[in-house]
Amino acid sequence: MAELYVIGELVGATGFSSKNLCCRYSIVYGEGWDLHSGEATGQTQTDYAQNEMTIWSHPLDLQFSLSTILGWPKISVQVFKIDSYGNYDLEGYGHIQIPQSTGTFNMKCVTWKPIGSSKEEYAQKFLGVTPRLANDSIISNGDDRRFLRTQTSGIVYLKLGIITREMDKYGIVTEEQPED
Amino acid sequence: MSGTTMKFNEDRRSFVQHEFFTDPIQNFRIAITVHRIEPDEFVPEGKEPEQREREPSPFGVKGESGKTWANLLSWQQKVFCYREAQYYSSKAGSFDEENQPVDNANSNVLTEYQNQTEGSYRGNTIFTYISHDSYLPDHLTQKKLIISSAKTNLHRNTLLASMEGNSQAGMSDREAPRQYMHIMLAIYDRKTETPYQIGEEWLCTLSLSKNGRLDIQPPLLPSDSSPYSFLSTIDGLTYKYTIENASPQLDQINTTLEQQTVERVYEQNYLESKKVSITKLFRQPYLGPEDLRVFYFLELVSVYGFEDQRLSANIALDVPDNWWSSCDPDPYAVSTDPKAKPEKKDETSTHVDTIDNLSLANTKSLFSADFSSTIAEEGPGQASSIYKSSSGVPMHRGGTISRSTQSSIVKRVPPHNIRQAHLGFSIDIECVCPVGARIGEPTTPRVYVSVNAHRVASHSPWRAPVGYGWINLPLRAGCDVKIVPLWRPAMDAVETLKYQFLGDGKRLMDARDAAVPPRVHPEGELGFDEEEEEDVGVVEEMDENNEPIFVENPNRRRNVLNKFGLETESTGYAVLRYHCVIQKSKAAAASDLKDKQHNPLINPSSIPRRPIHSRAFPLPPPEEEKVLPQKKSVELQKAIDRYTSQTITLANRPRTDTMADSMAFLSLQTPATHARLLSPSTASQKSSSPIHNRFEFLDDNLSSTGQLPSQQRPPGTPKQAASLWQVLRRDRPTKSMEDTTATLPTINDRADGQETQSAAQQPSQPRMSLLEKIRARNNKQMTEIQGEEEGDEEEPHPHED
Repeated sequence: MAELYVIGELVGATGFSSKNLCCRYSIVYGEGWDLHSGEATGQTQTDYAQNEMTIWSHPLDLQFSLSTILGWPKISVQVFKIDSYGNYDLEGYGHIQIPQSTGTFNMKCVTWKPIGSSKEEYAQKFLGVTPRLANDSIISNGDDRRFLRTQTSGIVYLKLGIITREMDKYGIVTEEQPED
Repeated sequence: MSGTTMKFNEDRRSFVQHEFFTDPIQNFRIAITVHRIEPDEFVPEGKEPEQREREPSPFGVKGESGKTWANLLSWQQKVFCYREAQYYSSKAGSFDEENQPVDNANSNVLTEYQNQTEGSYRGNTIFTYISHDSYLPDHLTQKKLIISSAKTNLHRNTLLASMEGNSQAGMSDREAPRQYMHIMLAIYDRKTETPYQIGEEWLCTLSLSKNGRLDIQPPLLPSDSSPYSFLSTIDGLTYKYTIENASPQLDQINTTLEQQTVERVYEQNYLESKKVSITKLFRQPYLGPEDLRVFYFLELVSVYGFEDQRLSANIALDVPDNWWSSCDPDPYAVSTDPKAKPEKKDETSTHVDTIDNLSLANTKSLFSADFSSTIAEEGPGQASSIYKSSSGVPMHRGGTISRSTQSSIVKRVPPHNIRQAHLGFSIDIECVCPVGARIGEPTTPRVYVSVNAHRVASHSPWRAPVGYGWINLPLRAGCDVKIVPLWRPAMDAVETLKYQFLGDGKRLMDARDAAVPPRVHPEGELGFDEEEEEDVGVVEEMDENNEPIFVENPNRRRNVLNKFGLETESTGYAVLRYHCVIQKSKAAAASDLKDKQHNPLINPSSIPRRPIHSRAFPLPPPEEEKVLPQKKSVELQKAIDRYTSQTITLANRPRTDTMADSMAFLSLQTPATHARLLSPSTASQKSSSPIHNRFEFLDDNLSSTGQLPSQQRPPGTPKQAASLWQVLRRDRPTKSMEDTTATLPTINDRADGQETQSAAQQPSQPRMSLLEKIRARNNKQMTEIQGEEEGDEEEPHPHED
């Protein structure tokens, strides 16, 4: 049984318009994958950043078994901020592919947030109601987004350590071996 | 009783206790005691219900009184109330009102009770409903099943619910209860002379889940807690009751054994859960022995370097025609003639045809003739059932995936504060690279990126192209990030005005023209030069026997990609991140695994070891110890003299057998020695001499005078030297060093200094070892330095602070 271990953390974020941010993440994977241990969804604490960098340091510890390469897991993130009334407003969507190669990776996940119609923009400005996606699966899948208007948001930093097991048993090469 | 207290007691009864019993449930016993409070009765605090006066039971049941009832129940023990006892005794073996047969199981249990009590059993006040009765009390039927249909964006509610003690959130993932047991209380009409049951009240519910979890509502009470109470709506009286665990206590040995059993069962269950995934086979659809299944995970991260405010991108992944994929044959050619695709093969260069032929030749050698003919007949874009994707979808040759990203507003993002548009768009593709596509001039999938600027309206078709670019995805497993430089066709004045005010611009008819134009556009100037007739890869010649043979054309002229006339301007960049995973065939994987297992560099256990019972070489017989002659040579005697001399150098350093002696030798660097090393004059004098010469020089001075010459003493030498000496002594890490230097004097250890001073005054003994001599000399020197410090009262000692 080929297995994939992902050990890392949601380090933090930068570049968002607010300093009080939290992040909700979910692991998206295909049909031939099973999540044996670890949480497929989670949420960080709300960090009131004192400088440009928001620190979460939220641990990730996942163990997968796979029967196919297709559907390699991705991490989908949603960044929220807390306004003065305690409401959670969306700050950005983003996703990142979990690396296939073994090792430790410092990764940047770019985020964006949707822009609504003029009425929704006024509602966002005066009422704090941010437009959101009706279906979160569009964050990580490759469907066409031709008619979606977004705004560039910040960057979420992740540190991921990848360990694979018994990949070579099935002839899977995830990284080029150094030449002698 | 006040309403607040009643409310509190009602809340207590709604709590649920969760237990994972290691003891078998058959040994579970629960003791329940109920006391009825009369309206005129004053209940003193702290008085247990068992201690009160018991009244005679209305039915004469032993152990029950008129006001206090108690019972000891086991798991799934059926106890009848008065109404049930009458029902089952009167209709044993008959049918009830609904013409259903009366439950024989309960009738048999009732018969046993009758036999035990010699026919006087008429039911208990505390009775039970078990799973066999299929009874559901009112408080369970009235409970609302709350299904949260609202989308909770955050886990805040769940977290708060868990923290506040609401067990419902934590119980959401438990298994369905397997068995129930309800403990009830029969309420009687006290006004009538003959006992008559007018109702029943719920006391406790126990439910056992499949995973061995026992839920008890309300929880079992410890011995010193206050009892539960409730106000019956049937007779208007208050009842108090206690529920206690009366299970027999296990001894230490059995408890340990049960814990081990539980752990073993847990491990078995864990392994059984793992077995499901272990037995799940890895999907390995058919591959040729040398073919590769390649997975590309492509992500268009962002674009930057553009002046426009709103950007979108089109990304296309084009699979070569000698590869196989399950993506669309040619959906990318939006603005071109759909018939142009089949012409692609004819108008491209001839070496592509050569690769195709080579691929077919190799395929023919690897597979059956029917398969090769099938491939030759189908051609690119035709489906075939030979190669299938991991999900079972038939693959075809070539193919393209084309998607459009969202339009994103540009923003400066730290840390580099570059104006960029985050897109975060991913494409996953699975394709097969046959062995023929890797021979000769290998081809790999190609990614085309075109960036559009939205000037007028984001949803309008006026998307001005501002960047074209492409990269080849390497056939190499791993992760990488590529920066794709983008360009756009240069515009003249009219087109620039049109671009500025209308948002339209000059564009390529096909984004693939950014790399190699697949065809010559009739109105464009891009494309290859037209092929000439003699520009073919193979020509026909006649051999010696005057028979035609096909040889490579020596005069073949390669086509040249000519983009003359195309004027472009650089615009921005696209950040492309991709991951590549390669899967080999079963045969290749097995071969690699076998090679890896027999490779001693990878698998050291593959090195053949000599068996234990192999023939052992006989050891040579032990030689007799040779007795050295007692005669000492002249050289040896000189060495001994040098060994015992006062001059210590590293060159004639004595051989130290122990670590302690070695450290003691190194501790020869006395404060005076360090002071000499710190002296710039000494350093300048001995800068060119080796280290051992420096030691020799210092020791010569010490041996002759016992102290440093005053002219060689650096300013502030005694103070600095003493401090440095203490620092060096304090920083010694090893224990052996500390043990050795423990006997050495310190400038603060007055007693040791006196002792060493007295020892130094003693006459030197001939058997005094070298180490002792050195120590005595050092002690003497330290005593002198200490005396100088005591005389110097201007500077305080650092340790006096």
